[in-house]
Amino acid sequence: MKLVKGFIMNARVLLPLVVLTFALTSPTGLAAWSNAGNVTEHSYIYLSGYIDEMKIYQTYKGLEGQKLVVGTEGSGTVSRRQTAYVDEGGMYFNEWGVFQSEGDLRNALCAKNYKVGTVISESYTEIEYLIKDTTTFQDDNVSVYSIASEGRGTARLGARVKDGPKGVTIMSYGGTYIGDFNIRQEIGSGSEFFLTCP
Amino acid sequence: MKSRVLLLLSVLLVIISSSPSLADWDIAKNVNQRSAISLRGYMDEIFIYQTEKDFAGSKLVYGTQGSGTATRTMTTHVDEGEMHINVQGEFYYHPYRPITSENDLRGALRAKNLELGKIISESYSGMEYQIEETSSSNDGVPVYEISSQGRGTARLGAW
Repeated sequence: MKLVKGFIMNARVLLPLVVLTFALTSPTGLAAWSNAGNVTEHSYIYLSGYIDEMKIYQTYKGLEGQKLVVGTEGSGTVSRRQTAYVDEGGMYFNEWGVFQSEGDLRNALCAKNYKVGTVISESYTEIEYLIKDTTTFQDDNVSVYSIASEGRGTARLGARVKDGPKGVTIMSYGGTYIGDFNIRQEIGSGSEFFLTCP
Repeated sequence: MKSRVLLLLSVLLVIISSSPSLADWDIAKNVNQRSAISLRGYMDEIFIYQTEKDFAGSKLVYGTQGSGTATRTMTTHVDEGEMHINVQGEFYYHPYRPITSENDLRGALRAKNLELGKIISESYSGMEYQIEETSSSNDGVPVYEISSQGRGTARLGAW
C-alpha cells in the first residue's frame, strides 16, 4: 500500500515536470501562423510631391524572430519598387528606388534577426538624388544583407552581428558618408556560406 | 561639419591575442562581408571584429575619417577559428564642398544573376549628352554588353 501511495505521489510530481519540460523544449523554429500562411507583396510607386510611408514586417511578436521596417518621408520625386515575402520561417525583402529632392527627403531601413543575432540599418537624409537597391533575407539559420546605393546627400549605415541574441558580438560597424557616395555592402552570417568569392 | 580636417585619417589597429582555443559559436557559424565605397565628400566609419569577447581570441578594428575622395574595398571572413580581412583603398584629401548645380540627367541599370552570384551595374550622372546601348542575356550563361558614349560621369561595376 505504501509503495502504491509513494508511486502516486511521485507521479503527481513527475507529471507536471514532464509537461513543463515539453513546454520549454518544444521546437521554437517556426512561428505558429495558423491562418495567414504567408504574405507576398509587390509595390510600385511613382510620385512627384510629398510622401510619408512606413512598412513593418515581423515573423514573431516581441523580441523574437525576424523584423524589418522601411520608410520614406519628404518631398521630391520618388520612383520605387518593393518586393516582400514573409512566411513562418523567415522573410525576403527588396527595395529598389530612385529618389530626387532638394534635400528634403529621407529613406531608411532596419532589419533584425533575433534568432541569428544580426542587425543592419541604413538611412539616407538630405537626399539630392539616391539610387538604391537593398535586399535582405533572414530566417532562423541565416541573415544575408546586400546594399547598393549611389547618391548625393548623407548616408548612414550600421550593422552588428552576434552569435545569437546572447552570444559574443562578432562584428559591429557604423559609417557616415556625406557628399557623392557609391556604396556596396554585403553581409552574410549563419549556418550557410552565402557570399561568392571576390 | 567644417572640413578643417588636414589629412584623411586612416587608422588600422590590429590586436591579436594568441589564444589557441576556438570560440564557441553556436548560431552565427561564420560572418562574411564585402564592402566597396567610392566617395567624394566626408566619411566617418569604423569596423570592429572579434572572435571572443573580452581579453580572449582575436580582435580587429578598422576605421577611416575625414574629407576628400576615397575609394576602398574590404573583404572579411570571420569564423570560430580565424579572421581574414583585406582592405584596399585610395584616399585623397581635399575639403568637402557641396556641388550646387549640375546637369541632372541620370540613368542607371543593374542586372543580377543570383545563381552564379554575378552582378553588374552602370550609372550615369551629370550627363550633357549620352548615347547608350546595353544588353544582357541570361540564357544559361549571363552575358552583359555595355556601349556608352557621352559627356559626364559614368560609373560601371561588376562583382
